[in-house]
Amino acid sequence: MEIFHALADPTRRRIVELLGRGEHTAGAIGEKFAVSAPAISQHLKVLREAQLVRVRAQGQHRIYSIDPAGLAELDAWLQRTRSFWAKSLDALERELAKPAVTPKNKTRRKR
Amino acid sequence: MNAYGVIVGPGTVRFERLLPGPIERVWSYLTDSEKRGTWLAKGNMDLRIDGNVEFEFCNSQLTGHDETTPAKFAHVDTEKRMTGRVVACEPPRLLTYTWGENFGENSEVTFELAPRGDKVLLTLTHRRLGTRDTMVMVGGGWHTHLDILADRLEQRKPPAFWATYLEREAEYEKRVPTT
Repeated sequence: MEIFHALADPTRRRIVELLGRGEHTAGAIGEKFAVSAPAISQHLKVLREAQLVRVRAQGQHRIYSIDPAGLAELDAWLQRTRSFWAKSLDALERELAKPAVTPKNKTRRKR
Repeated sequence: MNAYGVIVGPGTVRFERLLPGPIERVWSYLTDSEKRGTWLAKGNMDLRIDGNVEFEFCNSQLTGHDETTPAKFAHVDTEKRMTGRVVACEPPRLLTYTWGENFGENSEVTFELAPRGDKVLLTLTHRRLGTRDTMVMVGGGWHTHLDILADRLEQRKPPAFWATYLEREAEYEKRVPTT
């Protein structure tokens, strides 16, 4: 998933966290980082493509903010993964609750 | 307010201290090398995200008592330097940096400052602490350092670092649950 590739980089995670605290112009993001301006631009591009941040123009400025689309995708992924485990654990619980089967009743499968 | 750190999540311990203001003065004790050197450790800090953070720990001389480092911590006399990286910086309210990157650690410390009348509430949260032993050491360490910070801001003379630390560590040994 593109979104996890985008978030695998610590600088990109920090950009997302920064924008989570409020929108910033491209220039203001650059000033806050000890990373070169071209590198920041490249990171913003990756984040935009992953729909984690969005940009709008205001006069001369490009203003970046969090894109709810990417966060919703992350949320959905977490929910799917959680519900998969919840179901598996429920199944395991039911299995363990069944009366024990003695080995001689079981037919052994040939390999 | 409880002076003891509280475990607020997996591998996460949080401390609170009510300190004399104004907030800019407390901020300078977090960020200025000389001032930070009076309670924690000197070292440069590039206050931009991903900027380098450097600490040089001299706990034996920190409080002017000229103590001997306990044998268990003898290694800190030869490995004084610790590095990290700024994760978030919003003067004068929020500062987060990674802790001990040069030791391969992956933990993260956040300082939050909030005005409370003429005082300032400092909340320190140390996240992603690996083991129980680390939690105990970090608990005793921050507790001792933060009390020295309060003493410096109140212009009181702090007690000797290591003697105080060992008492605190014993207390955290009792408080941090064994899982």
